[in-house]
Amino acid sequence: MKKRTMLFAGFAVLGLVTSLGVLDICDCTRLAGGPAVAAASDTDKPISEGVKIVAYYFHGTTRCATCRKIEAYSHEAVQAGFGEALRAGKLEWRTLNVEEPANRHFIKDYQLYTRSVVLASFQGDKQLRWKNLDQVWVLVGDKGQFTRYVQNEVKTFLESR
Amino acid sequence: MDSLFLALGSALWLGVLTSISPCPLATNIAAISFLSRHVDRPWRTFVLGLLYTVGRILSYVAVGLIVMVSLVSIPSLSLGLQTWMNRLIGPLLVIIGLFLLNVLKLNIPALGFGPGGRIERLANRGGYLGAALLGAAFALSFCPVSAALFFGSLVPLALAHQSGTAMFSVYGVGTAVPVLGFATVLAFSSHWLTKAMRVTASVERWAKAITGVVFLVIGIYYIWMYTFSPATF
Repeated sequence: MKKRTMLFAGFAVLGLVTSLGVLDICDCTRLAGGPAVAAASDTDKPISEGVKIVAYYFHGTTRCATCRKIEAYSHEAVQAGFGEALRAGKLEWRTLNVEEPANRHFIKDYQLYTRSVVLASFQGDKQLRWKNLDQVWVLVGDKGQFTRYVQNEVKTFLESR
Repeated sequence: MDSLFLALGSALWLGVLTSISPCPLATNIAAISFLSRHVDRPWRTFVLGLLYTVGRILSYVAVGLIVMVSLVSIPSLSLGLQTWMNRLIGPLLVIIGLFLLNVLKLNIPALGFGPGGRIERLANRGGYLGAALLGAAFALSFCPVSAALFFGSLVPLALAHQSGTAMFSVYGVGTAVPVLGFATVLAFSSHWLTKAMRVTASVERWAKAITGVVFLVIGIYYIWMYTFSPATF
């Protein structure tokens, strides 16, 4: 009886720890009492005049741990590599929730099938070209490679605009 | 030929990458718990794991071929599966959990449900069909990571090599290997431990109950995350 009780207690503790681990890893901020929706979500505002590049991060309302990491790494890569272009307004970083009705059109516009980092160049309100940086999901495990990939793509866009 | 092997290796790696990412962790835990509950017959875990793998493969091949023949657009299929399968998985896990805990019992002898009925005999044989169906359902419940790697990396690879079925099958194996390995190791170590302590039969009963609780907890978590959260996909 004692052995059985000990084994069951062991399994129960393991189950509890694992469940808590799942909740933590999945970054369930709502369960942890955090904000329901990330505050830093822009609206679909118009692009100002002149040729400029917009680096979008598209997400949904539920944010997974890897999705947050991709957003943070991408934003950091853009800020660290292109501070001057950001200040000059040649480059802009935008975070958008595609579940908001005003932003749903981006799913079709950029063929979004998951959370994505997209670069787009604009001349005034006219879009010239765009690219989905789909390798971010493969490279997210290596921050150095991830940063180089995003910065190279942004650099190519800035140089060829 | 070399490039095909390289592509198949990449497909396998993409599968493993999908499986070890945090996003499908909850369903992986449910699968490990379901597969490794046969403490008295650990080899059954391995066979169930193989069937779980087959279930995953069938789902990925089906979705991949639908995309390759352009029956539906990738965004609508991907976002549709992410929305609806994750909403279905929650209640499904809760129902299976309640059955495993013997809270829910069906008594329809005409359909084989009930004490000594066809369904109970099938379930007692080890739930082989259940393992395959569980694998198929879990594979279809795409999350952001699996959707990105499947639709963004694997589908272009399959299109480039015109070998969809092989690529999707190898990817399916990759997504199941960590679960299969972990469940088998867990079943064998539990078997040896409980045999040494001479409590195998009682632990078997507890393992089934624990599996039920795990399904219930993860099911409630899925229902909360994908149905009752303000808005999700």
